[in-house]
Amino acid sequence: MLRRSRTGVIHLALIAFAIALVARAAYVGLWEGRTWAAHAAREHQTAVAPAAARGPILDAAGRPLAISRSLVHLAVAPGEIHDRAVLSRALTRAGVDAPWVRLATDPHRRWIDLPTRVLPGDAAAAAAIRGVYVTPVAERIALDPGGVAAITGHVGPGGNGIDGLEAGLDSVLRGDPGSGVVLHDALGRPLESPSAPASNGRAGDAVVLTINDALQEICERALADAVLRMGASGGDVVVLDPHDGAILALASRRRTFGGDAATTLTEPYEPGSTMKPFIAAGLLGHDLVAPADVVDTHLGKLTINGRTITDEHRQASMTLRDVIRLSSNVGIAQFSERLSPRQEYEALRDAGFGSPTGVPFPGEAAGTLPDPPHWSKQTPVSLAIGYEVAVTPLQMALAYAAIANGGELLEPVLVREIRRPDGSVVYRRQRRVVRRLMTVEIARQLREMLIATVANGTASEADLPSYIVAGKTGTARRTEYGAGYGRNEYNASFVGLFPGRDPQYVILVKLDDPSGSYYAAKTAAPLFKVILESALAARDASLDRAVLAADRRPSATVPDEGTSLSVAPAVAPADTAGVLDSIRTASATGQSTVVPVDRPLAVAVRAAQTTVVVPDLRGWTLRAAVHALHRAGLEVQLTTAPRGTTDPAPGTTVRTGTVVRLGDGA
Amino acid sequence: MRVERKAIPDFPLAAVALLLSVYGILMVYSAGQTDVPTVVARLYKSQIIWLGVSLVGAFAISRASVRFLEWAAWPAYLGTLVVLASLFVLGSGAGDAASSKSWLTIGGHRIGQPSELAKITVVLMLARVLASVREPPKLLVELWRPAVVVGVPMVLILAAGDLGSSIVFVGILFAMLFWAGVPWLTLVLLASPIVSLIGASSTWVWGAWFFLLIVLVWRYRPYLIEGIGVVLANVFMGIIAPIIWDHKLKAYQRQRLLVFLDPSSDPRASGYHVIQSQVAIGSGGWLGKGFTMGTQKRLAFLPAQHTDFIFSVVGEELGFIGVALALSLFLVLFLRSVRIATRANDSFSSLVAFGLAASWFVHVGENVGMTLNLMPITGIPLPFFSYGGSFMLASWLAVGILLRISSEGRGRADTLAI
Repeated sequence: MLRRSRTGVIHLALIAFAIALVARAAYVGLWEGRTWAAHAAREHQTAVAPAAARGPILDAAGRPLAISRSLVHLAVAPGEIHDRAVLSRALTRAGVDAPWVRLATDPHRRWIDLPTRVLPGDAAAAAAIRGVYVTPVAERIALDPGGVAAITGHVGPGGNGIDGLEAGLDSVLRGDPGSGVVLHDALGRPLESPSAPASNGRAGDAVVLTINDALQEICERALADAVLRMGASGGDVVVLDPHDGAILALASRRRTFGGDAATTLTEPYEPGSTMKPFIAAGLLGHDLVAPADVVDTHLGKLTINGRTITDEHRQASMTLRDVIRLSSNVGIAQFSERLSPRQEYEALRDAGFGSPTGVPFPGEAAGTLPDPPHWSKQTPVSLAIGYEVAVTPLQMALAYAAIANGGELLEPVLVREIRRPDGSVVYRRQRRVVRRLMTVEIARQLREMLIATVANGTASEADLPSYIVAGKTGTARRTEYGAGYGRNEYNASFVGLFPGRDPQYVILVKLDDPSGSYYAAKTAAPLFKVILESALAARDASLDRAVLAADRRPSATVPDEGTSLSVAPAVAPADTAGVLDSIRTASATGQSTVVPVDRPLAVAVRAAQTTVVVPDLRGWTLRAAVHALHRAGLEVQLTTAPRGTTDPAPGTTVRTGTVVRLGDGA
Repeated sequence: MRVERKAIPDFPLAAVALLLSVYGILMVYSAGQTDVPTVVARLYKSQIIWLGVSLVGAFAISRASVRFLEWAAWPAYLGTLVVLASLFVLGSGAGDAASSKSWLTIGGHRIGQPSELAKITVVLMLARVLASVREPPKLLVELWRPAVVVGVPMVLILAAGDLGSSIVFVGILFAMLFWAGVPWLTLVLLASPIVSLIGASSTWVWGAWFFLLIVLVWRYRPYLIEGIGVVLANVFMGIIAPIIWDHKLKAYQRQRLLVFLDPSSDPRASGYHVIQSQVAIGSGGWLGKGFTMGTQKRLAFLPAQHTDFIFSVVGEELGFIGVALALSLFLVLFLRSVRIATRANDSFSSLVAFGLAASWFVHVGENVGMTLNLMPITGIPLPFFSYGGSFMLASWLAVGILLRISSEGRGRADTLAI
């Protein structure tokens, strides 16, 4: 029979084992508890950075040039789908193409990434289905797909700027993605319960450019028209405010790739005669020449160092004033010999040539300006007539801005302000002087020479009947890579100051290789004039009308533009023409009026800028609708409501500045 | 022969078994409460039904006298062997053990796991064999009959791929031999080939063990053939251990053993279970995260949370207090069963009671030890807790048998003592 002693052994063994288990449980649960709890937390938490809304890029008036909207990317795991018919309907409703719907409902597929990006509202039904995976993505919309997009740049699929200002100012626009924690289960499915606090990121800051959207559009239209009409291979336009260096418009056009490249900043060219005033400034600054000093111009033909240079306007002798006015190569070449190579080099270097201007645009070109040790015998004369030096249109415009503003070379301003999403300004660009390029007096003398150039010199095609205009033409032979100067290929450029005595604009226009007459006087100068006239007709083109009125030539008669419509129809963009035609300043009594036009549209803007009637925008393109609302003085926020619907509803009278939610859905 | 039977059953045993079952069903219910509901969410209902069936079964078997059970041991044992053998034709895997064939499946319906009931019939049969001799076996050669009784079903179950259950049989064999009075030394020599098998992983360990074995054999003074047999068996085990390791063990079994030694060696795969179980229990702390609120379980990090790792749910949600409570209830169950074994009327009854308790003990020790990384992982359920009908039924049949033995035994059955 059994031994009693063994019962004791068993009891001991049982209790020992119970103690071992309890001790181990205590060790794991109490002693190591924190470690394991931390392990647990780590396991089902994943740090996520919910992408912050990218800040908009606005023009000087606050009109959006590039904005972001939230879309969703859909992916389907067909194997997890219970009811394919439901999924099929939901995807079709979200606007997914039929072939992709078929793929997404094919049970043999493991994972389908749908290519279409969908508005969150449209995707709601599909997103609720198990097996459909939703990733929020932000889409960047350039509201002005024209030349401004070349400046503002593009945003990559990851939401980061890849070129232009989007890249240059990415850190500002991107915002702070924040630090969220997503709880997920062992299979990676995110959970709602139990939730962990997520710190929302900060939306990106708004970047306000100095670009004037209306002026930009005028420049783009005029340039495109001129390039087409003159058979040019391309062209550039820069409009600056010479007082503070603000870039008001940057338009570029190339036959080969349209307008989508910021060649005004990135592509240097040999300027030709537009360089002469800076040689003159150097001569005047060193007291080597007085404006009335005369030089023998050898009847427009002179051989220097084995090279013959000629003039278009042949005279026996000229003053410095006339050398500029009539753009005499022989004259400036001889005057320039009075400058030492160092003095000549410094005159051009101080004008900013050969150095980047500092505009916050990635890829800005510095141009080339050789320093004297690298000069050949012919270089001094070449530089004087604008050869052997390559400048960007922006550099040239800035140098002329110095003439316009009394002699100060300015750092260009492209970003006027950076604003937080709440509207507070975190950065405002101040006027920054790089250096004094010339005395106020020399600048005044040069302006007079340039006025004379337009009034009765080479640039008379740029003259306006109502205002004094200053300017200088430049025609230079184009080089081709590896082939030297082209036989019949020219750059025709014109830099104009408007108005001539107290300029508010520096406008540089340049046409590459225009066919027919290649002289800038016949090509670039008229383009300048078209732009200027359109800008004068525009309602908001960054012109100080009060100052302008004082500058008006008393003899000329001009139509009273104060009460006329905002934009000349000739330069109105095709897709917004209807809006522009329909927007008319109402009577000054301050009452809102609705002006019916032939389209089912009614927009009324009150001159006193207090109340506005929300227009009916159904059937309009997004761009046209946004433009119409902005021109009516309203702020726009895009929503997922059907395209063209507005909140407040059409016909509602609202204050200007009210945010109108504009539908951009299906 | 008519045996006097007390009117009052062993109330404490029934109570503790019932408490464990209710505790267990609550945990099965909690195990189903995951953030993304799975089929586990419904299983507590069938576990309740199984508990009802089990209570009826326990009551029915407690009506059968111990003499009847002794008589029925043979046919029940033979029937068990037949059913186990039929698994080669009718067996199918399930759940985490999908590669095994331990489920009896007829017409596509899984009836149950015969190995669970086999534990009871083997205990009955082994008790019958051991009780049939007047003196406890002293010599190794005398142990051939118990070895065969346990060995045949164990091999059948091993062949069906259920390593965990077969380990329980080894535990039952040694426990009952010990309870039958087999000398310590004999048990050590019997176990010596197993020690050799494990010790062969290191030449030094095996060498030291072999030296000790020679000394033990010398002291034991067996028949020559016995001594040679033991030594040869150890040598043989030492030789084949590396072969078994390399060729016979499945890759996952090898991994489990390695991972037991160092769970972090393979945290994403083999070590995953151990680590997740410790994360669950460890993050429970003193009082746990609250009933049904365990995050590791809710978020599906804890594997097999309703079966093999249900104890981790206890640890996570009810904390150390819940763990200690469950272990205390089990300790009471064991002590009470041992008490019944000591007070049983005859050898058979005593051996049956002890064998059943030993079976539970191996389950609890291995299962809880596994969740705490004290034991290597073998797919072995926790009695009264883990979801599973056959096991619940087998556990309650054991309770019924113990109640019967208790009522036929000496002393007042409901006395609160060990």
